Amino acid sequence: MTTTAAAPPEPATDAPPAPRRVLRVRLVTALVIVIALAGAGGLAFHRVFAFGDLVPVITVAAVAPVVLVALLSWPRRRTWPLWISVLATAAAWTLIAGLTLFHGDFTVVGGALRDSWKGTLTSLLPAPGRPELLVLPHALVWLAAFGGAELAVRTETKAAPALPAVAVFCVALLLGVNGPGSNLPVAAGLAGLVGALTIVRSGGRPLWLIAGLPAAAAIGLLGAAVGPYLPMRGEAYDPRATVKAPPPQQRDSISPLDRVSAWLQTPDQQMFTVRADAPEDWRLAVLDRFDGVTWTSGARFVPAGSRIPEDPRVHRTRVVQRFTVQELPGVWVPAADRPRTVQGLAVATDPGSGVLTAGRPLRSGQAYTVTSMVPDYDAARLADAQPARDAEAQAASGLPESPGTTAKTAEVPAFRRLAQAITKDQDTAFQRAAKLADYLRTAARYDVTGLPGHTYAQLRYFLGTSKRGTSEQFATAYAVLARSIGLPARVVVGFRPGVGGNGSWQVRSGDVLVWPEVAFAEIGWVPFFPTPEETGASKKPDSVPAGETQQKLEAAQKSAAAHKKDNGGSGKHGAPAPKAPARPAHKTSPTPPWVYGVAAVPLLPAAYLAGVLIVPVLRRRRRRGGATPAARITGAWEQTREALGAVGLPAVTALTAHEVAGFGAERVPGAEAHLRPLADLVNRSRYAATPPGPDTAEAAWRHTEEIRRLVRRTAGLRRRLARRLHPRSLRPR
Amino acid sequence: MTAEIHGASDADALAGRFAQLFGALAGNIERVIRGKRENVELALLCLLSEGHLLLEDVPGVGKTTLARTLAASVDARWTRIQFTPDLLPSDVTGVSIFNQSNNRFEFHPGPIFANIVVADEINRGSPKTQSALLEVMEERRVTVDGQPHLVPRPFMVIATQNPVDMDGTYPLPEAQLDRFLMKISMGYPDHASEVAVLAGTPTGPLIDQLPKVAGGADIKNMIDFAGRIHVAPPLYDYLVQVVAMTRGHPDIRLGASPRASLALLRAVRVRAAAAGRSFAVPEDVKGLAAHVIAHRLMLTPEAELRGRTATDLVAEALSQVPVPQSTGV
Repeated sequence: MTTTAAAPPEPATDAPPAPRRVLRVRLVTALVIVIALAGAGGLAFHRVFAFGDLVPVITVAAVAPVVLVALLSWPRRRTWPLWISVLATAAAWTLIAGLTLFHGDFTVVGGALRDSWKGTLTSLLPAPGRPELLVLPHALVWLAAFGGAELAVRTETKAAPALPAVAVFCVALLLGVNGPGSNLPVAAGLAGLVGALTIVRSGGRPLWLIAGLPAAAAIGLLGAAVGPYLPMRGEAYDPRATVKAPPPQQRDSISPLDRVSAWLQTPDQQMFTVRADAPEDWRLAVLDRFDGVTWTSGARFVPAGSRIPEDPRVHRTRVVQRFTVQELPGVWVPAADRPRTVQGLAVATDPGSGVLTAGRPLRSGQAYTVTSMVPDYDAARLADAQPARDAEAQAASGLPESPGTTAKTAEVPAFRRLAQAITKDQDTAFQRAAKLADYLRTAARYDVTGLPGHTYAQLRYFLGTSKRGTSEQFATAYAVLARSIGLPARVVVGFRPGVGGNGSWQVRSGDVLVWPEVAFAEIGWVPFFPTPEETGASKKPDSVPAGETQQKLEAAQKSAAAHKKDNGGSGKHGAPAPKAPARPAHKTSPTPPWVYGVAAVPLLPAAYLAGVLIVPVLRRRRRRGGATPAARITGAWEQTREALGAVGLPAVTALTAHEVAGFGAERVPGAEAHLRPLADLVNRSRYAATPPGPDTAEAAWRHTEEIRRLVRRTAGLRRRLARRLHPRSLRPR
Repeated sequence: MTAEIHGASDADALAGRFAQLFGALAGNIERVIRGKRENVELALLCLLSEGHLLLEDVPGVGKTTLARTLAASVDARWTRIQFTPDLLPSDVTGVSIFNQSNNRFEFHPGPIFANIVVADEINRGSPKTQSALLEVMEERRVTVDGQPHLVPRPFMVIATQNPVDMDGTYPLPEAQLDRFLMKISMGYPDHASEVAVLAGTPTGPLIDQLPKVAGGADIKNMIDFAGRIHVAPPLYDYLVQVVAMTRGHPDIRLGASPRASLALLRAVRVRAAAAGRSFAVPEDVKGLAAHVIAHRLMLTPEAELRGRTATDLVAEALSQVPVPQSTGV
């Protein structure tokens, strides 16, 4: 791009210069395509932001700078210097971004733009459609539109105006790795638009345009159709992996676990209502850190848009829930496991547990819709499950001494002895986990008047003496016992489905339920329900005792435990079972080689066809664009020799230029008038003392084009096609 | 040369004038030697390359006439030596005779002291006489009684020999063959040319009546200009490859010498200038290689028995050596 004033470009063709009106039409068309290109590049951000949030921003950012560039250059015969255009577009961007995104607060524009990268990279995809994040695609698309328009106005390059949009597409591609949806349609559109731009900018004849535009669109569609079937290996590079995750945050001053006892004491407090496809346990918080006294959350909450990442380890059933908050305090947002989309409420989520929190405490009357993919558990898989050993599970495995004590506490060995005694006859990890739940259900009794709390001492009292408590004690005691024998465990605070039916449930404070979860490899966190059936005042006659998933899970757990016993497992207590966990073929087995073989059958011919069609074009382009006139003349000669191959020119290197010309003159009527002068030019460029000039190179290519035309006429379609499709066309003569 | 070739220099203009004069000389000779344009041009190439020409063919096809016509077209001194077995070296080079008036030996130059020397039926001279030509053909000087005597410039020996009637002849030794730039055969004229020869007799132009197209100074200038013709580095490489191909060929007992490479280069330069170019191209090498190299090669007896000729082998070398594809500038 030149930085000085320049006249509007005129296409360099052999034909006489096109009329000014035609040039204007071409330029306007190119600018419209630049707008579409910038918009298409920006649309690739749809994996980063929700489509609805993105489209208005992209539209403004794609159109405004192009219009500005056109206005700056249009009325004049010579365009303004570039620096004026740059200043104008910078001012315009600040103005429009400030007005449209920040509602007139221009002071935050710069800071928001500076922090938008990090904000986007630390948000779950799709990122929330907040102005401080949307400013990033706005600025990038603006830059792409501005750069493309300037290139279109100031240069004669054919496809260069598309480069900024392609760059934006690449950035969006990077930021949107692992985002929802696919960018293949966008890539196809982009490819088609680049083709259209090239055709328009090359100043071809209308016939060319008529044939070329559908061809460009067809190339784009072909890429979109074939792309998904290409066998790609390896994980996509995700820049988020290089960004330091935010530290664990204390989301609420009072742990939900500490509220359980109080809620059970006043069980009729109306927390929220749910309209849902099926009754489920509504999860509120997951607490996976235990210091001997309190359970806390180690969740690293990150801002999320409407979509939350999926846990791919188990089958899922879709459940849509509509929550209306009543008296539920705090920032924890109830939802069935595992929420996938949230609408109506800005939330942050912990990708590990899927727990949702709101930025501010929930208000009465607030409503939101959650779509969850509820896990389905398979008894066979559960039977073979082994304890997880990943970092998340390791963090949920420790049983530390109580804070403030210096001496070793006696509770932990006592818990371990008890747990080992309970599970001594169990062969597998899953059986031990299930046995612990069985033991607690039968050995203790549900009693809301039991001693509240969940410290080591209180749990020892609960297990050894009182044997009465609420789900708070059952769940935390289970978690401590499980951890003592090496099972990674955590506790979840939530609610039972509530009172009601026909798709609508009222959830009260008395429906609060705490349950433990144990992490198994390849399966994830599996809930257990060690709390016995509730009795007493807090139990409503029409309340749903357990969610559908809980019921299915308990049945699967019983089946898994029985299944293993029937098969006579031989694992030792406390040691991993000898049998490796069965891995479902549809999830993790590698693609069999024959699949690639079958896929290659249609792909190889397609790739070959693409190669023989594209490689000669690229070769010609390389020859045409040689760095020096001598190189371009050599390129013209090589192109001519290649063309004469269609009429039988042997591929020998011992022929001089005039010998080749003589051969061509004999075989191609009318070609001698171009072959002889071209041979002279070639000889001069190779052997004369003075190097040739650019005009000589142009003259050489004019002869080459004429020769090519004459050869095409002489050789005939069939022969040319056979030659083009021959593998020889992949390499230069 | 087309008008679209940009970057044409002064050298191209001079080359154009060279080509013009070359064409005029060839045209003048063609007035007598009908239908043999190629041979005429080759003879002129020899003259302007400061080389010597061996014309070998049957009697009566115009060998001597070509030599005489060439000499007559140039305003330069020419002589003719008819070689016979009793011709003595001194008959060629000249002798020192005692001058009684001043009591000194005076050198009387022989017929070799001319710009163009026609050595007719050279293979009939004795080896001793033939060898008298060795020094003057290569070094352009004659040594008599220890005194060197330079021959004039330009200097060219046009020798003829008859390959058919070999009785009483002395074939030229390899050393002497190597000193001839080219060896060409006249061949019979085609029908039309022969008819034209007959129709022009006796009123056609006689050799003695031909105009002098160029003077000795013109020829010297042309020789000097041809020496400045640009040869790109890849072309040197190509030329050497062609010559070297003859040295390792299984059918060749004795390949071309470096003198052959030098001779070919000189001829290539003149051919380029004669075509109006200020630079040489591979076509020049290909066009002259057989004429310059073939007579210097000695084939194995087996190859000769198979009917192979030196010209065939040179053509084979040319068909195998790749033409340089990249610019040498």
